Amino acid sequence: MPELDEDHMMAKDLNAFDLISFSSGFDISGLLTHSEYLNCVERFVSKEKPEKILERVKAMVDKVERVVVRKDEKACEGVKLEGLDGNFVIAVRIYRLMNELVVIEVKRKEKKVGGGQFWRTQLRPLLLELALLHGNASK
Amino acid sequence: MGCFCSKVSKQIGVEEEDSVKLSEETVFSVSEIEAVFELFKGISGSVVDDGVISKEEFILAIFNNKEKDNLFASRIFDLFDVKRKGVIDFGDFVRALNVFHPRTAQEIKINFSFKLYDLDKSGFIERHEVKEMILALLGESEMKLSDEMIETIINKTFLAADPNQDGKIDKNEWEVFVTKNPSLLKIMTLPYLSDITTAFPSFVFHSNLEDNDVVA
Repeated sequence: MPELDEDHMMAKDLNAFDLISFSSGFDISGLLTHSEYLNCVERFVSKEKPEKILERVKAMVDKVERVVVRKDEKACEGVKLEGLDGNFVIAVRIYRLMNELVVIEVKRKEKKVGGGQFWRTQLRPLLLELALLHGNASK
Repeated sequence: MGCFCSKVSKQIGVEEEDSVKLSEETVFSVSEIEAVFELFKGISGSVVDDGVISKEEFILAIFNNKEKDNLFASRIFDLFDVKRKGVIDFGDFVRALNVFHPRTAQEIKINFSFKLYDLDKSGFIERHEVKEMILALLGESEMKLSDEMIETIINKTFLAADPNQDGKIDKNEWEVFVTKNPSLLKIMTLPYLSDITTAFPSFVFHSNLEDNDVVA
C-alpha cells in the first residue's frame, strides 16, 4: 500500500481540500485517546516569508529558558520546539497557499495541566504578530 | 471449567457472535473487535448509558466539549450512522472505524471521503459545497482569507479536480484527483487503530475462542 506522501504536500501549494481537511472536526483520533496530554492544532495565514517566520521563532526561543528548537524531519519548512521539562512538544510548519501567502500550522502536544503556558504567553502572541489579521489582500 | 470463562462470556457475551461476524467483514481481528468494544462502551455511556453513541457523545469524545457545533464532525457522524437512526450502534462504529484503519484499501477511503464532501448527497462535490466547507473551516480557526482569496483557491482546485469543467466533481474525477494528491486522504487513516489492543492496557482481553481451547 503506498505511503501517504507528506513530502508531496510540502512541494505543492495547498488546494481547497487540503484547507478543508485542516478542520479539527475531521480529526477523530480524539475517539481513541484518553491521556494527560492534549493535542491541539492552530493555523494562521501570513504574508511573511517562511524563513523569516522560523527565524523569529528561533530568536524568541533563544531567550526562553528550558525550551529548545530542533529540526522537524517531516517538513521542509518547519521546526520542533520542546519544553525540557516534558510539558510540551510543538511542531511549527509552514505551507505555501498561493502568491506570497503561507499557512503557519502549529501542532501541540501539551500536558493538560501547565503545558500550555509557553504557547499562550510566548509563541501564540509572536505568531499573531506575524499573521494576516484581516482577509484584505490590499498592499 | 468455566467460572472464569462464563464471567468473560457474560461481559462480552452479547457481542460474541457479532465479534466474529464483524471481524469477517472488516480488517479487525476478533480481539481487536473486543478492544473496539471497550472503547465503544466508554463513549456510548458517557452521557446516557444506553449502549449507543448519540451525536452529543460523539462530539464530546472528539472535542472534549459537548457544546461544540462542527460541520465536519456532523458529516462524519452522519456517515457512521448508516441506518439513519440518529445514533451509532456497535456494528456501525466498527464498520466506520474500519474505513480509517491503515490496512483498509484506498478505494474504500476514497469512497468515504467523496461522501463526506458531498454535503447534499447529490452524487457530486459542487463548487458551492466546497465554498461552504472552506467558510466553515475559517470560522473555527484563526486563519483569515478574503473572499477573493477563497475564490482563487477554489478556481485553482477546480481546474485540477474538474477536468470536464462542469463546475462539479464527480466520483471518477475525485478518484483521479485524490490519486494525484494522496495527502488528501491523510484524514482517512488513524494509525492508532493498528495498535488498538495495546491502547487499553487496563483491560484484559480473552477472546472466547481462545478460552474454549483452554477449557477443552
